Amino acid sequence: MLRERLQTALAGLWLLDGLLQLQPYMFTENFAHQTLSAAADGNPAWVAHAVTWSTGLVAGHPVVADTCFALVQIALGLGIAHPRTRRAALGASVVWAGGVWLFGEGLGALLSGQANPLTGAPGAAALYGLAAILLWPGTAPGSAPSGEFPAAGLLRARHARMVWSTLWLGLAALTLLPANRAPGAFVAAMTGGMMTVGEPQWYTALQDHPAHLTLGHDLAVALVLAALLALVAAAPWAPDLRIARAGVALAMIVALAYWVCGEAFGMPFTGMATDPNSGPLLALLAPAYLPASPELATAPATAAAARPEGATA
Amino acid sequence: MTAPAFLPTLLSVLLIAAAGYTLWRLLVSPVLGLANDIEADAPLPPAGIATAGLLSNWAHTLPRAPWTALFAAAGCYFAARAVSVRADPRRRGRAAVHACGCAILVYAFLSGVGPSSVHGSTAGQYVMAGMPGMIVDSTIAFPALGLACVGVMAFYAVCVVARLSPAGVAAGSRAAFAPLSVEICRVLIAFALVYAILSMLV
Repeated sequence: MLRERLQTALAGLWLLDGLLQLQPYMFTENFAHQTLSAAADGNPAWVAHAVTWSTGLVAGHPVVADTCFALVQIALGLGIAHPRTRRAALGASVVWAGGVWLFGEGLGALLSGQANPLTGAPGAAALYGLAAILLWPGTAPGSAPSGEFPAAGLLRARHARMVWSTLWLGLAALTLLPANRAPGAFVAAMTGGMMTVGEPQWYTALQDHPAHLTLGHDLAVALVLAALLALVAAAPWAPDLRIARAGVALAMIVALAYWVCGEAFGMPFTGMATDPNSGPLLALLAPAYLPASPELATAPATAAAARPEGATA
Repeated sequence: MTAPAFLPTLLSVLLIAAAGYTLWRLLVSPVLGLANDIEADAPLPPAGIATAGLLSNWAHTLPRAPWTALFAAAGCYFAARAVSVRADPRRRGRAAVHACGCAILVYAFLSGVGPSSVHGSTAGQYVMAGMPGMIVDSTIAFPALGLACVGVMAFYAVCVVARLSPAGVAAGSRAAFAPLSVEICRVLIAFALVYAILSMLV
């Protein structure tokens, strides 16, 4: 049940992405020159080349390209939402997300040394692909029928935990990159550049206050944040269910903080946002690791054993 | 290159078709002895026509005030229904969703959502101001409430699609009259409203 709800939420995010592609700005050449081309900055030549190639393609045919982008993403959203087409759409979304991650996001700037989880690293597209795999319908062979947690579907529970730990340890490592713990790094990430352009006043104030609290304490903040992220990474391995659940709750709080304070909701206020950024996806993945209580996990099996042969639920 | 004109035209045509179809369905279902949810389906024809007018000048019908009053009244009615049927979670939920839909339509009419005569987009067109380091943003900023409406409608659409099955929307003991088609009309109206709100910003 929880997995289905998370799949529907993932479908909603894909649909939202598709609808955002219908903004007038997306049909102009500026989408290619201002939004896509920026992903090439600081990347190795082969990544930059891929981004530049896609930028040229979109700039040459902005209306056709954007119409296709919008239709594909809307179709993915509706396909994931509908039970009959869910598997096919999830599979297609992995392929599409991989393409967007390379050609549109420059691998989330992971190879540039500038990637910052606070501003969306490792990139929303990578998390879309990951979410599709983790929320795949069905149960892995050899897993408990009830599933230990929703993400233990296509992957076994152990592998799913490894994916979680790799993701959050990766975020912790990115937080400690020199560029992200340098003096003024947090203020620059949260309020610098075009981050606050177009925002309502109340929201800019909301971002400014925590950003200025970090001034002069960037290294300490980065260390504390990395420690929190490492705790989240370790939580699913905890033998105590309460600790695992606390880890899920902490992951959701961190994701929300990233989204509100660092990602500015994906910067939608100026009509140039392509997605709501990585915060909602991190928050979506967290409940997928919510362990079922032992009573709930054994209840279906007990009910099935007690049911007379041939009877249906 | 400009934002395509075909999109609002296409959506408006589809909306008018959906409005006509849902009206025909409401009128014909009693004659055929088939069931439908009159309370939930009755707002669809006016919602389709009103939303088409938000997208295209040629589809403009009534002034904004009557539409606003109509959907405000419908929203209040559904909100009251959500309270009165609170013992039935399914009906309460549906009434609340319809109330939200009416509220979003009221928002669209009150906030000036309408057909745009501007070609292209000014988003991202920043000019340097007189003082160093300052910029003037020539983009019209999106209202946060409009963005919230966009998010709500997107998630509403996927929830409708997720429960699309003949069994899921059958009404009463009588066979339901093309229940899937009316749900698809709901999704279409949600899409069109989202597009109308997103098009506020050029």
